[in-house]
Amino acid sequence: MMPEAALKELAARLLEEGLVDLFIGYGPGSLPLRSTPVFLRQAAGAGGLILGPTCENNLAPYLARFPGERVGLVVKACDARALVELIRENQVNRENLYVVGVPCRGVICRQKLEGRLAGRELTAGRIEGDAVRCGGHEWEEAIPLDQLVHPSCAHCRLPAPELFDVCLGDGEDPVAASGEALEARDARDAGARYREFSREMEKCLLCYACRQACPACYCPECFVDRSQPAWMGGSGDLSDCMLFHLVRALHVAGRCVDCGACARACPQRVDLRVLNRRLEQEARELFGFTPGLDPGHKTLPGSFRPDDPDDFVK
Amino acid sequence: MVGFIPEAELDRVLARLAGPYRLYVPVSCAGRVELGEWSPGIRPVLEGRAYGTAKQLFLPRSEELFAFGTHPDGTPRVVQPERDRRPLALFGLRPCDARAIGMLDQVFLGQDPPDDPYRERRQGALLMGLVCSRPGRACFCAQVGGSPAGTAGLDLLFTRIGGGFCVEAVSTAGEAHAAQEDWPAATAAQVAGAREIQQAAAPAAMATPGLAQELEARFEDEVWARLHEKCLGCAACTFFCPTCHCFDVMDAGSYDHGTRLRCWDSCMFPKFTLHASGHNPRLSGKERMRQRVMHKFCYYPLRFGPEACVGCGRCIEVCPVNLDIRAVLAELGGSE
Repeated sequence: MMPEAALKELAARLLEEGLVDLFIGYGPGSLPLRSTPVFLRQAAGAGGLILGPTCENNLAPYLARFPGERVGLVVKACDARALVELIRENQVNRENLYVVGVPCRGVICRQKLEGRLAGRELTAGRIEGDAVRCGGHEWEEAIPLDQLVHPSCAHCRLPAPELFDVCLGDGEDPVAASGEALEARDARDAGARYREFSREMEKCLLCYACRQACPACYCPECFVDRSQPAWMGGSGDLSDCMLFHLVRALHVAGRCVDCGACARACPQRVDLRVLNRRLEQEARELFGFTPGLDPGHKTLPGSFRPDDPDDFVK
Repeated sequence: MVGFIPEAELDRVLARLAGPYRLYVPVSCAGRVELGEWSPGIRPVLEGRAYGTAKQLFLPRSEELFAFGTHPDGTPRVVQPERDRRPLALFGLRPCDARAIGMLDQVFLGQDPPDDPYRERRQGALLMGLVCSRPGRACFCAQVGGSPAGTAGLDLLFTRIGGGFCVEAVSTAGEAHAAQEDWPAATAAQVAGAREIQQAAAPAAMATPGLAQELEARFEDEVWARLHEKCLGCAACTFFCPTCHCFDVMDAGSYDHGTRLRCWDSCMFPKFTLHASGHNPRLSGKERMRQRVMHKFCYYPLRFGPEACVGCGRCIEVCPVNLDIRAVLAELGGSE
């Protein structure tokens, strides 16, 4: 059975048999090539569930809103890694969860799509095999999916969910070859990197879509929302934006699973992976730790090893 | 009178404006249409509407109201910021965006006293609109009383027909500008062509009479819990809304030396309604989203007439989870 058909059947059964109170998945969005999170409490809606490269959101942040309820949740591999972090940080009770792992070949990067369409308005779109069929006023174009997948997906080394109760599909290969060569440590000088960072930060409006979309950002009160003392101005000037993103980066260091949900949520196309991929790389190279794997392991910030070389401490 | 500007003449028309005005036009920016300052060689994009709003030109994301400090003798010192005092001119503005500026005018100029920084930017501004020949995928201006060929808020209305633009003055300032430009009159056939485009653009009105009253009665309705379910609680919708205008005033610097800033704020933020006592009357995302919908479609229309929404669809386009205000309204308006 195709994963999407299996998903509909499974969600309907879970709700019907009362195994979950709520099922969170994706349904068709109101714009072409978009999906939208759906919250089902009755089996009747399960037929509207969809899967595929438009399912760009990470649904794990929603779990905090339903404490005590038994929730069925659709997770791609990166979402499952986010879930592992939430479980080991005691934010989510594993026993209340029914995790449905789904195959993922990468999600569509709307920014790449916009660039490719060069101003033409997309009014219709559908996925057909490896092609994204796009259409608008008096034009049509088929674009290979692998040219449109989000950078987080293009660099995805772990495309199969690690944590699930049921895994649908048989672990399709992602469009981008798995295990792509690890990025070399950025060799550019500090000035060049600072300029790139500044260029990205200048776009930020401090709308906090990145924080809200991030599964690791679950603080009941974010430091930017403190008014006594105010840790940060809210003016949106460059120093405020840098401060927010750097503090957020430090808070999610060793916990960020590079799902890319923050970057996809950004209405200003800030390339947040400038920070995220570096965090992931540091965790891996300095501590041999990849966030989101091995639920039995302690959190990275919460673990201590006497034989830690500490050789980055000068 | 309807004037006619051949397409090849547009560049010269814009060049003449660019001296006395700070001229903004829709430009192409990495696959998106954005409002950008015009300079020679820039070709305005005539399809689609800008991703960002024109609001940011009149009510910037952050602006310095004044700088403060102390003189050497200890007396306080207040310095007004330097600003480019040339009036703004906007070409290629969509009728929905012009209508939104009209709503901002009501807020910032329609009160006594008017808001000085807003008035400075708004005074003498020339708003040149372009009829939408084809509404976009997220557009719903007709549903909130607008029209793709609407003239509210505009000074000049451009209609693109074969070979050029028909131009009509739709305000006193527009008439003065048209008289000064002395564009050749459009032929009867050109005017007929423009009318045809204007009429074809306007979809059947889908206004929802009585929505404001209905919403008022549904403040405590259970439907809000479901409607807000997927909302992440970011401020993308409010920051990209051409009529959202809430701001915060804050000081940057120290007690005796710094700047007073006015910055966009959002009803979607928890801090927006946080009291000094620590109490927050809008406790969760549900109350905050309800406030956003109620302000636009209930409180504002009950007091001022039209909805505080012009149907530009930006909130639909920028929402990270594709929460569609049209679907929300359909659900709220379609109750028993």
